[in-house]
Amino acid sequence: MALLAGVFAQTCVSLLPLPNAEIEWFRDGRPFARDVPVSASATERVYRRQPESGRATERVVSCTSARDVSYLEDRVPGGATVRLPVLLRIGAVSTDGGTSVRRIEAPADGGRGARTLWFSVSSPGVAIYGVAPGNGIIEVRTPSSSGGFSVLRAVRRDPAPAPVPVPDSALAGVEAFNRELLERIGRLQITQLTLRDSIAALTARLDSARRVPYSTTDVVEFGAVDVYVERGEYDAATELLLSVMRRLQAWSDSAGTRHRALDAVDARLHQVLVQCAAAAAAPPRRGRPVACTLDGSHE
Amino acid sequence: MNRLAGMLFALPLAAGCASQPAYEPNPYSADQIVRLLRGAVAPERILYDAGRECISFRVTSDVQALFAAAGAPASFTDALRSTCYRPPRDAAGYDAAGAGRASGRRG
Repeated sequence: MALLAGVFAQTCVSLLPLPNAEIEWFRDGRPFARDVPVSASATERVYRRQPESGRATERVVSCTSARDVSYLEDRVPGGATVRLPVLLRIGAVSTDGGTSVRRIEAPADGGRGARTLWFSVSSPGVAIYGVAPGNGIIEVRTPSSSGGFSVLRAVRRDPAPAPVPVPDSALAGVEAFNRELLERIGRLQITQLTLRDSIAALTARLDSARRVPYSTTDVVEFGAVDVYVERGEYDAATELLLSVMRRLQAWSDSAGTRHRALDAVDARLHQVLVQCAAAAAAPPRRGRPVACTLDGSHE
Repeated sequence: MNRLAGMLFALPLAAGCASQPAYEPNPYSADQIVRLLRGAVAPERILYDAGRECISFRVTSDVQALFAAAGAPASFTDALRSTCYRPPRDAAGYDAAGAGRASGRRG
């Protein structure tokens, strides 16, 4: 269980921005702020945020957990603190201190890559957040006064690759290897999350397709039933309706839901049996017996 | 293959004709046959019943086109040509063609 909790926590860690990377922010395409890394630990990144205009502040991105829920937390003094439960399923809602967070599908414009997770947050104002592995929050969409969205985007500036440090001892090498493994686990967790969401979406689409077998409750055999009834061949009409009913029942059994045309077939069968009984009671036409068997032998 | 299909259609037809009922037949109209075809009734079944009850129409090229549009194979229409013909009856029960109890086959 502790291992599982550790792996879940690692999912959040893999979402943290890479250490030492600068982040530039653009609001609706214009420079907005720059985050310069100050310090980094396994579960936290601290930046000095320099807005385009105004005083520098401190931004802290970290992984926290409460009641077995792993959160990616993004704090900017003077701004909103955002806590995103990273393991939330698509469509699920998490409420935290009066703020509702819902995991949502990628925006219609495709967002920024298949591995980006999207959340809508209710407070302080409605906003949509995109979170990507190795980047943290990469996009914030807020309603704009013009009726559309104002988009705040992050662009990561990776530092020039540093020379590979030679480990002082074998232990340092093992630690580095462990760290890399943990990061890989986190990335795999994100992939698993997105795959799970895709499977759920495909299954839902399949279910809805199976629930709508026909666009109408009518069935083609009704025309033939009408012919048999007008000819006084009630046995043939009944036999045909029963075969339709068996077919629809078999479909219902396999689909796990009642076929919508079954009621219509049932009603038509009842109608035919009533007509059959009336015809059997009437005098024969042209000396011809009515083809109407009401002894249940059709079953 | 077509010959085999024709034989398959002819078999129930022959059986139907061989057991003509004692009561007066109730011939099938072209419209009824079209509706049976569209209603997913097997052509073999229709031929069997038509062989017993006869048909009340001539199998013209127009009728053939109607049956084809309803999904009937050409062998079905061919087999229907050899089914007994009885003219349609009017409301009073007389043959519309004034032929009384007409009966017979047409090629």
